[in-house]
Amino acid sequence: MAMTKYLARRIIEILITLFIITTLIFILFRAMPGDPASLVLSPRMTPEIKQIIRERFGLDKPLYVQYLIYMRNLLHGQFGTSFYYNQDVWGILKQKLPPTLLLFGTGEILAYIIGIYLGRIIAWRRGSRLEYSATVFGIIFYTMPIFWFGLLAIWIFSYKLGWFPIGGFKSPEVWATAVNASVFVKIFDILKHLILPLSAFTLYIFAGNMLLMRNSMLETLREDYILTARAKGLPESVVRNRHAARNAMLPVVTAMALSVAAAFSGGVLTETVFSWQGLGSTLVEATLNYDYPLAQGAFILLAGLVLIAVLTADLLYVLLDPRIRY
Amino acid sequence: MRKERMVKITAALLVVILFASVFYVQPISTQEQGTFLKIGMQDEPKNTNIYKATDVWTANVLGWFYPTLFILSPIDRELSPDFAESMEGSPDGLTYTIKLKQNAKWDDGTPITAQDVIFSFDLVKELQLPDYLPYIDGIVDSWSAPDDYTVVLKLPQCTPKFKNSTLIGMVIVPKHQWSKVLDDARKGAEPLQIFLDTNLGADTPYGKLVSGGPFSWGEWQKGSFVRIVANTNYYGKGRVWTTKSGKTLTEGPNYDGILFKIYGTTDAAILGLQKGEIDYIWWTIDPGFIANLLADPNVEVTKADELGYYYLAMNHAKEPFNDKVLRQALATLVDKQFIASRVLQGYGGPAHSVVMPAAGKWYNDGVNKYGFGMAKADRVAKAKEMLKNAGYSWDADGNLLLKNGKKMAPFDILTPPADYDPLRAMSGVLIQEWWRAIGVPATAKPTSFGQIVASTFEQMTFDVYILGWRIGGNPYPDHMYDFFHSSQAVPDGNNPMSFKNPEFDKLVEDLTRNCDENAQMADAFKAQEIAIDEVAYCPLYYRSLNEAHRKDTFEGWFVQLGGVAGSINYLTPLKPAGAKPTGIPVAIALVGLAGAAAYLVRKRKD
Repeated sequence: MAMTKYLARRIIEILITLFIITTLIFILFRAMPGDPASLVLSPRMTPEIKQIIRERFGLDKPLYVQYLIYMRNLLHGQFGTSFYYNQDVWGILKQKLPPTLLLFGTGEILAYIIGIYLGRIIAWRRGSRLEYSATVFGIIFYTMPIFWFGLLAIWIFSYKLGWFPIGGFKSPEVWATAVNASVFVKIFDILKHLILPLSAFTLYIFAGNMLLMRNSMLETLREDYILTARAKGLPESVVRNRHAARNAMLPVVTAMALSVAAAFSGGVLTETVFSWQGLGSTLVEATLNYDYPLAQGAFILLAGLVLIAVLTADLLYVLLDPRIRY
Repeated sequence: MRKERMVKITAALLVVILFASVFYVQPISTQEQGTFLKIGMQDEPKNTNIYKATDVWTANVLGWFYPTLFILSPIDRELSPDFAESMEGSPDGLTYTIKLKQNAKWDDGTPITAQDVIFSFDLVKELQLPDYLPYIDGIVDSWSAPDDYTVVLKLPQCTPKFKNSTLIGMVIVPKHQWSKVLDDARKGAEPLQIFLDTNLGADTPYGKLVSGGPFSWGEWQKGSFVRIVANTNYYGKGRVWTTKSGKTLTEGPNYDGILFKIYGTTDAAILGLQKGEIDYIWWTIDPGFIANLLADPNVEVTKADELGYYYLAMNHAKEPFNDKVLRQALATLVDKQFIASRVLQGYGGPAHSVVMPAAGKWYNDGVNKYGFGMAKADRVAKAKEMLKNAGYSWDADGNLLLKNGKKMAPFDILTPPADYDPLRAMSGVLIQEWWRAIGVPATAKPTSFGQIVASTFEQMTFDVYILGWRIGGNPYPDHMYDFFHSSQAVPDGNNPMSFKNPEFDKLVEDLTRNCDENAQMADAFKAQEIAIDEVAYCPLYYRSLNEAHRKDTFEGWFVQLGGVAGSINYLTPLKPAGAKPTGIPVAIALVGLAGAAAYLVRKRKD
């Protein structure tokens, strides 16, 4: 019952937060200098034609009217039509989201698995060569610019060794309708395209998780119950994995939820370097092109995903720590 | 323990399978699919509506499907019939009777007739389609089709824009497909919006895009690639072009289609070209990449002219830039040769007029070149002398004092940021320093493109800015009207500088009205002289169009104004040649993976 109440309260909070975010997004975009019509710089474009374009985009209406139309459409589940794609924004987002989820969702999970695994090991072996080398290795990748590292990876593994495609999501040679390749072959083709960007992204972000887990573990290892567990004669691996790591994971879970936003937005560079046509690059392109409906829709989707991730993290605490109850 | 070991074994197996899958997927033999010209693009098209193809990537794909009455011939750029067979003008030059090809068909087998031409003109007029209205508005008065293969166009007055713009710019669309789109658009409250928001495709009520060009619609896997296939009904296949230099080009296509692949960065596209994933990069390559490409024996780098240029503009409506002498002095200080050699690294040249040398007979090389060719000290001395004679002076600190004795207020030179265009950003910094040498308080300010447009074309509140134009493929310089006529000196117009000169206005008006070419050229030359003398623009430089393609996959590449694909149809004479690079080493990777898997599943003591 308490959990149900908590859930209901959190959902209401999420809706209020989303309302504030959508309003802010609307204001911020309209505050940008210029508009979609102004970007079409052509000698053929007379002021009259530019006005026609603005009327077509609804930009000739007063701001408050544009806002009311925008909110009304949102309440009906409509994000509007993209100025440039001529398509329903939700349709575009649905198309762009799976590549982003595949790359960054998988990358986030892998980075956390690797980070948590390594973090608990190096905390357990504090002062060892393994700790120093893992820390240095992780920080090197963490501080390396992802676009430079990505290009280097492409140059070595795609160009010089020829192991992977230069970029993209699919091979036309497999996916062209005329080829009629099997589902099995198509899945492996996507995996082939995924390996390099996934590896680059995972290497880039695992270090933060590893160091956070390490610090959290070091604090947890000072707790009395760890001493008790050792005193009871439990194997070291059990003390480490079941007693220390499990409790040390709580801050890491929080960081994981908050990093969802960073993953999607920071993934812009990764998507661009690897020509991975996902949500991140679409978001930036839509913003630069003043494609208000698409940019707004992408931002709202991103905000929604982050809010859901934070809620998920809160609920995970209940599973991870029996002391936490709502 | 056992559970943990099982987890490790499972994880190791998954990793091995994942990596092994990389090498399992063998590319299907290209012979099974046909031979495709693979072109790299920086972005995918946005829609499948030719009337909404406002960005270059959409135009690069959709431009293959719709004929025009005339086109510019390859290399020589002369007006030549495309869908038209011939054209006859009345003695007064106001009525043109165009005979159409009688064997032309759309790719669905429907004949292309005069009804399609009339429909296309009617469509633009009825809906006032923004991108196509300028091709007929004020140029063509009426159009009719006395029979299925004849079109009569009537002009309200003689204007060179008819041949230079209308005949080569107005696309002909299939009436039997687009009339349904128009009918549906008419049912709504805003037909123009509905029409422009419509896409064609097999998944729409209007069916697959119908083409009359060298290629037909294939498929678009969004986010990945676009495939267009050779149109077996194309009326232009086998057409022979003979250039003035004697070169013969036979139109194709001689291959099965074009595959457009998307690359997010130029670096990735260049690697893709060198690896053989693509045959041609369809955008200009920055000079920094050229050396690497020149070293590749399989890649050819070409250099072409284009009609655009980059310029600095001052706000004539704002003090002190409303003083012609000041503008001329500031223009004198700009070392265009330095910019061309150091910033462009030789890939381009100094621009002196508002018409480029690539425009051939239209270019006036006799315009005032200000300080060009002078040493820095001489340019500074000359500028100072000009200003001194006009009543300017300097204070003890070397700051420029205006005619009224007051210090010149600091101002910004708006330039695009370095990540958008490093050349213009650097040029701004250089000009800032050259102007500061005589006490002019200029500061180059990298500014987002949207902000520059807002400050200049929309609000006209700027002081100085640097931008550029890419001007189509037609050398006829009617752009001078669009950029400098006083009627354009309004918000949203193309003359944010507020340049107003009645003599210039008359010249460019006559340029767009006078059908006598000698008179046109005299007007164009004089207009350029005035524009430069008044410093309507201070042209800075033009860039050469650097492109790259593979030598070993297709042959018959040629360069012209606007680049290899200077006009869409000019990739069709290419013919397949040579083998493609292949090879994916497997053994090394699998040995490494086996080692990693063994490490993961090893037994360890705790």
